[in-house]
Amino acid sequence: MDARLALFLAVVVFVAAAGAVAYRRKRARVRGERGALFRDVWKMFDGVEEAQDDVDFPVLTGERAGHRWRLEPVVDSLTYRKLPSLWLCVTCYADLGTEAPVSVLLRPTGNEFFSPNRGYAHELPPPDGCPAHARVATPVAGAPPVPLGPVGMLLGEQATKEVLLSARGVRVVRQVGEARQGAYRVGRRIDLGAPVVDADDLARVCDAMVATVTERAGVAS
Amino acid sequence: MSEAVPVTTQTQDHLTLRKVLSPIHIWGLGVGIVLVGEFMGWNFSVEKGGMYGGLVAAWVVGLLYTSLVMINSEVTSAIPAAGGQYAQAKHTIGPLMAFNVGLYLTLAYTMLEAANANVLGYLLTTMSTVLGSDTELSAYPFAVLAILGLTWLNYRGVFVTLSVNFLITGFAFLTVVALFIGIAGWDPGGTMSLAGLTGDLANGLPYGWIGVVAACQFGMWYYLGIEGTAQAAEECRSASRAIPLGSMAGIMTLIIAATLTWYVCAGLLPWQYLGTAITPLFDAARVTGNGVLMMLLMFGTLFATLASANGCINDASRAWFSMGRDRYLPEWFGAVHPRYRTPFRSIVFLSPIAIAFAILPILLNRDTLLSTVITFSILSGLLMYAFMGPNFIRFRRLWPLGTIQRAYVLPFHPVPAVTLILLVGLVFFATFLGYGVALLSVLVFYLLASVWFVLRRYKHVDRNAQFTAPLPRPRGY
Repeated sequence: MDARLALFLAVVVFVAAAGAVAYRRKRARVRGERGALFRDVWKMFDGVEEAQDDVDFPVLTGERAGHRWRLEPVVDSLTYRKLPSLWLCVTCYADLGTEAPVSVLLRPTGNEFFSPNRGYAHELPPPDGCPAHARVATPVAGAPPVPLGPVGMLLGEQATKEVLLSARGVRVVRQVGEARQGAYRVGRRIDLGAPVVDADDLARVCDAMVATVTERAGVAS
Repeated sequence: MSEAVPVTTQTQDHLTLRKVLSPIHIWGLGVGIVLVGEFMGWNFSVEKGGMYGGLVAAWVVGLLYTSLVMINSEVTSAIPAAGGQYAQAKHTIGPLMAFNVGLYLTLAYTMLEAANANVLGYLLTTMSTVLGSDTELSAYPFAVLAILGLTWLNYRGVFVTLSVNFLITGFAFLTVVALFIGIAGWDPGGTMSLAGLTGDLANGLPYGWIGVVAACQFGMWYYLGIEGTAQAAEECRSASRAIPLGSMAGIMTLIIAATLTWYVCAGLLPWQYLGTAITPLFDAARVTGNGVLMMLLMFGTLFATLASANGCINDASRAWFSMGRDRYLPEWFGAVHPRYRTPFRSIVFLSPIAIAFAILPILLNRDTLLSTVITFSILSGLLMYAFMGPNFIRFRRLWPLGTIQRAYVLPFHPVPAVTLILLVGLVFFATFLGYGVALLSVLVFYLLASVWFVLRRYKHVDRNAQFTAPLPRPRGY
């Protein structure tokens, strides 16, 4: 074997081995960083269970105010020419007794795979205080508009993406992170950093959701 | 209505919704996935127009892209719907235009990806020979594995922590600078032989001024993809100056890099060879006899092609996915992987198409077929640019200044739009000079695709879902 070729191959093997070690370490670090997403909100819930799939962001379930909750982060990098977002789907399970689900999706692009809004064929008039760039929809034709209640106040906040009411409960989707511009625009690298959900902000959202559930329960009874 | 409450989400590194580009990333926008055009493809302009034809083409097409980026900046800042040119077409023209734009984007990036893989395969097989290997390696596995590997990365989304880094694209740029320094580029008569290789008109303008026009076709390759540096934030109106500033900085970087690339190659390689080379910068480094330079340019070309191919898979699949979601294509393509949250069917579907075009020159044993693959990409991009000029003029007429909010206002309208229209026409004519069959094939393909869309897909389109942004009714509606 030619000496130059042998040297080249030796360098390649060394670089590959060093790269593999660095990659494993980086993977462990990323898992730890992403796993800290709910670090500050554990104390808000009882019976907390957290599950993390490999290096993905974790999913948290627990109980609060007498209801079962699910906090699921979703990385959305699907819209062409748009920075990827990290959404947090906050779900409060409760029997609302609504006739038909209603979804208020803000700034729709058509690619919101985490929302059923696209599949709801019947549009409704936007509720008071809802931004103009929104789609309010339900799957049931002729269904009466469902008052959103206190959770509707979240529609005026930039971080809110969707408010969904159904017979099974209430869900609010909030943005908790966005990919760094430089990394994505230069090399399409999705760098969401190491976001940590703010406990005060989440508490405020949860309280609004509980208030809506309580209000709906009063209406149903 | 409650007042919007500022998001108070904490992050370990102060992540906020509105990000500002650092200076290094502003510069990097011109380097990223676009820089590959300096390492391959641009030199086919020399075959068409000679050394000086290639240089003029680089500058003239730079003007085309400057106009394009400026137009794109205003439209992006005015239409509060994310989705780039695809969403813009949906909102300002209609589904058929949006379908064509989506198709242009998909094929422009898929053909670019194929060209990248082809060059990578050629580069590695050539390098093995240079390093003294007695075995002539096949380029097939390198090209195919490159596409499959990058497809796998994109398929797994954020589950892959190994991703194309800014560093390797920055390294690629630095190798061009290193080559300039290594050959003492400030002395055109030293290592270089600029006067000898370009001084005679027979080398500089072998086909006269018609050759300069013809060369503009491949002048596109220096800049193709720079429009992809514009990315909207969730609120859909990025910081008012971020998009044009970043993209203009990228254009300037590319113009400098293009001139530098031309200068280095023009001083080392005869135009007859340069015009058909697959890896012009790498070949220029080989001519110097300097092993270090050769190795640097080998890695520079390798990194540039990988970075570009990675970006192409990302962008092409998103465009195809969006068309599936909008029912312009079967909704099957609009599926999202339940675990990785990626448009996995779109990614996988486009992969064999890229592989097929990447290995076609190898299969037919005609390396220079790469220029035809590149032409397919150029023409797809060119068709999109062709509509942007008239669409923008129409956009300004329907929504004049003051009727909708614009974070960025294009100055000297309609000069940039008219400039874009004229230069696009010039490049179409340039393509006709030598690649008329490819031009005709592409036009026929898109025409047939449009007919298919009208006959088979239009009935599935939800017209109410096309116009979601709260733009006021256009003037005269």
